Amino acid sequence: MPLELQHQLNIKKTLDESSKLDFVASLRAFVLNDMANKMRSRYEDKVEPTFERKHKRKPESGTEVHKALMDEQYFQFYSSMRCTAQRMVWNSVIDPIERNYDSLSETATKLIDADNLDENQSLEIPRNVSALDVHLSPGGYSKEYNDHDITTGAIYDNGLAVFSFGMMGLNLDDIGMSMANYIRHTFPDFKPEKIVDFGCTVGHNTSALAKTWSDAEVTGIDVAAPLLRYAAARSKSQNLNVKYSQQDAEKTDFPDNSVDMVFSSMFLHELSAKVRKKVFKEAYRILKPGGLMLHMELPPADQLGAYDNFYLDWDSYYNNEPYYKGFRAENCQANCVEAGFAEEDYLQFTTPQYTYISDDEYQQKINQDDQDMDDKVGRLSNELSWYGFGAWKNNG
Amino acid sequence: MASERGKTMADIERKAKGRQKAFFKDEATDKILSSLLVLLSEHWTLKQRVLTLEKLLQSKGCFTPDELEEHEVDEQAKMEFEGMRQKLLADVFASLEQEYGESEIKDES
Repeated sequence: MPLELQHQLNIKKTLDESSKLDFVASLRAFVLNDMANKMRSRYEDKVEPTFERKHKRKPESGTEVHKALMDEQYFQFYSSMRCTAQRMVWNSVIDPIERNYDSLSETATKLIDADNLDENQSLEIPRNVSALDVHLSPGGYSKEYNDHDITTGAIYDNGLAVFSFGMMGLNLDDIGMSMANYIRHTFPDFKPEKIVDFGCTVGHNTSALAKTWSDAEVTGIDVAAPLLRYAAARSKSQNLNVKYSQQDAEKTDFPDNSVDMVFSSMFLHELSAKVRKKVFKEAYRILKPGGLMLHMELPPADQLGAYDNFYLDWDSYYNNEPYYKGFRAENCQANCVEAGFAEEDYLQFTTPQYTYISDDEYQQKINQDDQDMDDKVGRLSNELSWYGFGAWKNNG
Repeated sequence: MASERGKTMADIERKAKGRQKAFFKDEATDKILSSLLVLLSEHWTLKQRVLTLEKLLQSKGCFTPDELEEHEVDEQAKMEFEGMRQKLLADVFASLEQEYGESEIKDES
């Protein structure tokens, strides 16, 4: 079931609007749990044995699994329904946003001030953001309908609540909470004073960093002004001390060696390989010695089996995510090393969801977990876990 | 219920850039399936409204189930219903307006 947003930008929906949101969330849960499980069974019972008879081996990559499945009717139904559900996510939230736009805009304007938002109107929006409606979201991240517009932010926040069908926590910040608390429990002496969140969108995970390290100075950066305006209002209404700044993570204005932690979530896979390398180098540049670069991402292809790679790469083929598959094919550790981090300072882990258990239970879980990759990592479905990686900047 | 559009801004874009991928050999199947899901959404919305309304009215003792079956609406309501049926059809068959085909966006990694 979709959530009521936990801040002042929540929209009062009509009964019909609520029914539609509920329906789309239920449809997504049905497709991504029930249908996904049945598709896998059909693959294992029928498609894989057929492939094996023909090729005298099993499919070795996600691409081979994808090709083998394309003529399978169940895959066609799954994919067609998932694409339609994706479009319905956005359309179901656009009606109430449009209907409430004036009051929403007024509320946001009251909450934003010069202390929590720094816009840079001369910033050139990168093509991967301006030319593409990522996730099939109309207008993408950066479309502006007026000079103080918050539309794409409102669409993203409300859409995420439907898209995640209740699996990202009441504040849609489970990724941020899980990542931050993994670090807090695993490295209790690490107390970052200055944190920057790259590609923060509406600040839903930036807020989690500010909650976890409440004394830290937390800044979220993004290239899209409508997202940042919304983020600034969202954080302010939750009494969180977070600044938002319109900057490109490729080249920020933070001084060398000035930041304790650079964070991102679901960000790197939206970048081309070339830009991604620059972002890693930029993180290295601004980090203080002893600082941590931490990214939550989809798990790399070389750590999963062929079917799971096909399953995760579905978004790259069909959900306007052109860089996603290329990112998953890369070696995260090699990227860190190329940016200047030492090989031995690399870390990667999987974490259970923090939001739905107590802090003690979470600590027990991460101590017990053997951190193996499985088909639940990074996949929005029951019993999911998140993948994180990064590196410490050494003191040398 | 039809939504009232925002007054101080242009209507929000409803379609994402790029073409919708077809998965079946005949893309008509994708379009019909898409329509079916929208229709299901409309069906659920309506069902929830009717159920909510019936529960509310019955809790207030406004009618019995028999009276509901026997009631006939006036001409003006019948005209309104026709308008709503036309909007329902347009919404359900919106997929017919969607361009299908290969994505124009390539992996540039």
